[in-house]
Amino acid sequence: MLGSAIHWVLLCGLNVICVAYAVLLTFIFELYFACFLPLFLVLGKGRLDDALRYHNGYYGAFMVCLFRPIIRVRRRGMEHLPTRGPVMMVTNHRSLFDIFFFGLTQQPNVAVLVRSWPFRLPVLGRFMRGAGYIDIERLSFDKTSELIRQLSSRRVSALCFVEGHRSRDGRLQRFRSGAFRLAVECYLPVLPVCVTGSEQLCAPGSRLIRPASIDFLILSPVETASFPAEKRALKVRRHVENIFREQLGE
Amino acid sequence: MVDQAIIEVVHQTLVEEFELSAADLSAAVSLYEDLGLDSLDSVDLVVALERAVGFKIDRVADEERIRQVRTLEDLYGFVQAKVNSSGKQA
Repeated sequence: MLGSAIHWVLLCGLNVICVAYAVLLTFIFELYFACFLPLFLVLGKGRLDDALRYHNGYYGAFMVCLFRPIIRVRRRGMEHLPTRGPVMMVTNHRSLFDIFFFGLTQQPNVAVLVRSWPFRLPVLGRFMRGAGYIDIERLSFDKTSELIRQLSSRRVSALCFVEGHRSRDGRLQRFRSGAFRLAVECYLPVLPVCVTGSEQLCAPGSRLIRPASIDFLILSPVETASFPAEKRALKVRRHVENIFREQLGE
Repeated sequence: MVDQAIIEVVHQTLVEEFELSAADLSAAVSLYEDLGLDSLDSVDLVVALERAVGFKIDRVADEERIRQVRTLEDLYGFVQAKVNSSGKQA
């Protein structure tokens, strides 16, 4: 009883420190970003959406690196990252913080496929819209496909949490087809990224952060063109889902 | 009256897209409570039905009608109405 109370107090204290530290880091990062905005604009060839995506990618990497005492990330499979050309990254989803780890891919210019509700959040929603993130629930498939084509012609990759929601029990959920259909239609290789351990960091339903060891594994890209043409997207989805299940031992 | 061909296409789409058992599919079944689909699945379902039946669903114009689809019977009716209005057969 006493041990549990002490544990609870320590955890709350840790969370207060983490929030204060995150605010401070964000402030420092935004100051740097404001100073380096011209550079980001050059990297983004003058486009604000590109600059904001670079911002988001570097912010994720910055936070993960400087939270190292709390978050220990083992990053593997970096050799599978494409050296040229965009990809459709697909990943599993266990924590609110999963998106931050993608800053570690060193490919910061990534457009995320998102459901409608985050776009309605006061500040974040505007930021996501500015960064050209794609609302997959509101836009038609054809419009989404057209946007992905435009982005990939500018070498911007896409990222999709293919389970649709965070897993409530840590087990892999059924994959949705949208990302795979888009990959097939836009001729993008699918890059599976398997993230484990983030459920310890902030479990669904919990508001408290706990120290966690994250395994961030980039798997071999899957070329969609190598699958039979009939119902290709479904076949690619099943293949990639099997890769994840094998990786997670499910 | 819904064509048998439309019922078959809807069932086949649900089985392939969501890996459901064909034995669980009947007119009275609720898409959400009984089959466990959610709003994100409805996005996939719309695209899969467009491909399978060959019509276009305008998610903004058809939003209210899509929202009213609760059971498989509603879905058959929705697809039949789209087929009739586009003058195509499934």
